Amino acid sequence: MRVRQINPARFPPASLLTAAGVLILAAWPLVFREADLFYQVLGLACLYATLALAWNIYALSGAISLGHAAFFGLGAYGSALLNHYWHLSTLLTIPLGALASLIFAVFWSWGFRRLRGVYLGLASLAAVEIPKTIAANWDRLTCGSMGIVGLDRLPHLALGGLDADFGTNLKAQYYLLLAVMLVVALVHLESMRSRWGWTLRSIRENETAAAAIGLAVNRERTKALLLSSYLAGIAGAFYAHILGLIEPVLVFNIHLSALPLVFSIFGGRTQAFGPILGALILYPLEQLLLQPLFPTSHSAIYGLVIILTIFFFPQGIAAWLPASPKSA
Amino acid sequence: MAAGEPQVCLTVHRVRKSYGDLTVLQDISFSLQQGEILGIIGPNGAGKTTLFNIISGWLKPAYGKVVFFSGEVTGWPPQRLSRVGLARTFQAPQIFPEMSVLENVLMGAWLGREHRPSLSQAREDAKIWLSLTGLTEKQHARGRDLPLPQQRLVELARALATRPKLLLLDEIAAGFSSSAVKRLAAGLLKLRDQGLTLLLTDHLLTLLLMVADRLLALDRGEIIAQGPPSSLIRHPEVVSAYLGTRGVAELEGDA
Repeated sequence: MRVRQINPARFPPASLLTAAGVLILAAWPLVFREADLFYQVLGLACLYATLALAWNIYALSGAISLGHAAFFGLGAYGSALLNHYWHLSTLLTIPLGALASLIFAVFWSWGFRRLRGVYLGLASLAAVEIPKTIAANWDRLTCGSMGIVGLDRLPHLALGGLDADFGTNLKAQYYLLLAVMLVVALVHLESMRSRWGWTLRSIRENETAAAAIGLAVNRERTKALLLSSYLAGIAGAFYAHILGLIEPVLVFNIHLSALPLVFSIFGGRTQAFGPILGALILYPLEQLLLQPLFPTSHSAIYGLVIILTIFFFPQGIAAWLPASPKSA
Repeated sequence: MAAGEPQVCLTVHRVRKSYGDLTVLQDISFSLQQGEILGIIGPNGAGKTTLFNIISGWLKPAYGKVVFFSGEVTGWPPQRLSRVGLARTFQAPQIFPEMSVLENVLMGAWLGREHRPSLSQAREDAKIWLSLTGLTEKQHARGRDLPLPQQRLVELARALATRPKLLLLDEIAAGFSSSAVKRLAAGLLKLRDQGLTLLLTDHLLTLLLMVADRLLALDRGEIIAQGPPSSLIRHPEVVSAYLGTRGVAELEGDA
């Protein structure tokens, strides 16, 4: 068995690979100039990668959530309602609306503070039902299960020579979602390699040992959840304005809770870029290849691909990337 | 507690603990001078580990208090006690399984200290503790790949790296070869000379007889004897407790 040595002080030597990856993601639309389907699918893949990264920040503390649809959906609803009732710009409603996720995370971390492992998983799975039921039944506020249509699309910005309509121009939208993903990727990277990142890793590996060296397990995990929930809320808020509509089953569904888990584990959840790799490979694979080729059986094949990958590469495909050299 | 005298490091005052009807500790009181090495002996089930758990914050006593230097710390959570300099190791070693040996110790030196040293400073520190515990050659091995006695050494080095004032070692020498016990004893005595206070349990007494200034014998949650090691191991009650031949009358009295 190969022993991976990670030096917390140094940028991962995979930095060259990372730079190449970012370059490809930024440059391919310059080559494929008229490919709206690809812009759209890759844009959404970036959005789901953002959600997966957000999910993984909580997972870095050793907590596997099966309920991140709650944060995604609350961010979406928060932003949608601010936009619907006060007609605020989406530039404001997205960061403000995601605060709804943060508030839910406060209750979550208090309510679930003693739960671990599968028990936390089950509780979090059920937790999604709370905001879902509220959204579906508080008709006067949320229009209930009918949802809200006619939300503002992402804004049209004209800055100097740059003119970008993020709402309707799918290429511009792709670049925006890519940028959001990269920012969240940096936050995620820092949540791994900083002092706090190693605190989370200690807690993930052994809570008893972490407490014995003086780490406040619940406090640090709560910090991770707050960050994770807010970023998941941001992703949800973008989603609402990309579609221009929202309804409870669209966001508070188990599929959205499973996505970040599947993407992160497929890509490698202890690797800095694992969640991104998972989202950018699996989502386009499903949308661009499996669905057109196997219109009736694509879900089964998609599932099979995931099962086989996790079976043969339990550490995720990011474990194929070159390991860091021996450190210290 | 007069000034100028050697300071009292730890005071355990009238501590009691029971699980349901089973009394595990009854009315335990003792204290420990700074720089002293105190060993706790007793047969299985005597309450040694429960006592350790109460002192280090993993259990709350039903009654009584724990005083660390001048402040009462009864019921403080373990992480807070570790922050003020009360560290421990566990009978079943608690390490970070996926980290290397060096990283394990580094976590203690980097994350476990109040004044937040820089990473490079912490790494220097960690290496010193590794060489002191004889783990330098194993520093790149993954924690969980080590045999249990070596995992105990990793835990010891990590606890030392947090720079404790008082260190509780629960069965640290279990599974050690006699030469390893000797090396460990020499190391602990050196640390004591630098001001560290130690509280140890040891099933086989080999380590305690080498290092302890004083022994405290525990049986069924009570202190049955205390004193210097040489006299204590001849104490009739200690001998009988270890041999498990207590009078029937006394058994009935306890029930």
